[in-house]
Amino acid sequence: MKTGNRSCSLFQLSALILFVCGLLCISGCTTPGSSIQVKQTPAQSLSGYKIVAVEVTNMDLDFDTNEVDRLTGSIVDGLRKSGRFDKVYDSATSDEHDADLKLSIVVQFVLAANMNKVQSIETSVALTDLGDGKTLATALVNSHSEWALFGGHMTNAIAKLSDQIIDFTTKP
Amino acid sequence: MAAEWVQMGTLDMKIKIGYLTSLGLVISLFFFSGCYELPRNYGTVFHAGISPIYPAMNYGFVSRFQTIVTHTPELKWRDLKTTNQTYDVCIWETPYRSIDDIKRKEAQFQSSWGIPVYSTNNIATNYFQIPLRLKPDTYYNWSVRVRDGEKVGNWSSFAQGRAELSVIETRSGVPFGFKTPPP
Repeated sequence: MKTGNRSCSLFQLSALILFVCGLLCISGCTTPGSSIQVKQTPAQSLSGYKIVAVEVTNMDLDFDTNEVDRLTGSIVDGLRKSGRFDKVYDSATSDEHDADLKLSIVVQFVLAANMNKVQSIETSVALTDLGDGKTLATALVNSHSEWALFGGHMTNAIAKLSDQIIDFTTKP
Repeated sequence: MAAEWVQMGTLDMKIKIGYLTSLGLVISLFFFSGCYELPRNYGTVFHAGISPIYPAMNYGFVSRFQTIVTHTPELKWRDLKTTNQTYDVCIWETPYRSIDDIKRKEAQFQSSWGIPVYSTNNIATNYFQIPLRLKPDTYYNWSVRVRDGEKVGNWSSFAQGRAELSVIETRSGVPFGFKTPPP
């Protein structure tokens, strides 16, 4: 009986430890997702703007050219699919210059493959009227990948970032 | 009785081993999950090439960025070239906005030196006055290399051994650094 009781206690303890380990694994990971901090909201509706040029500037060379291309492509594609604009193009690769609105994204800081496994991108975003050069809206948009224990992926961080930027551009 | 005592003793030991193993597992997962970071012991510094004299620098990935007093520093380094050789100098602007950024980058397996903002060659002395005004409150990397005609050496850097969780790792190819003062 005594031995049985002890075995039972040990079994319960093991279960408890497994539960605690699970909690620790989860708590050690940053919650996946993205954040937006709007710095300047547009004074009026931006519904009049119909053609948008997307410009991505990279300040952190740990974010390589393929990742810059992937981010640009994802934003351009998302804006097109939103149906909010008549035309959307990447200003770096397009010969067109008829945009009335510019969406500028500056990649400020990137945390790539690391010991804590979460990968993140921090950007500043601005919408500019190309007629008079006035900045209409600005925001800081960050995103990070999930699961520290198993390793986050930059692809996921890029996808979350572009979703936020598309949302910021199409909402006003 | 003696046999029973021995048996109980073995069981106790098994339970103790079980507890200790579980505790070890929990502690290991706690550290590996990123909940807690052990203080890092920095060890030996290795130089690859020339070492800096000014700006003075602490040898650490994070601590190498000492704030200088000018936006147009005169860089100086230990003179290692021979008579016919010259030096190349380059300055890279880093994306770091704070010490926290640098600490985060320290955990990254490899990191870029930044965007080159100034470079020059054919320097005959072991010092060079930067001719452009650098941005205020900005973290810069810099390095020097020896040039012998068309042959150029590697950019100077340092490496540092680090002990963490009884694992010794070496971070190499760390350039020299400084931070410019406020405007």
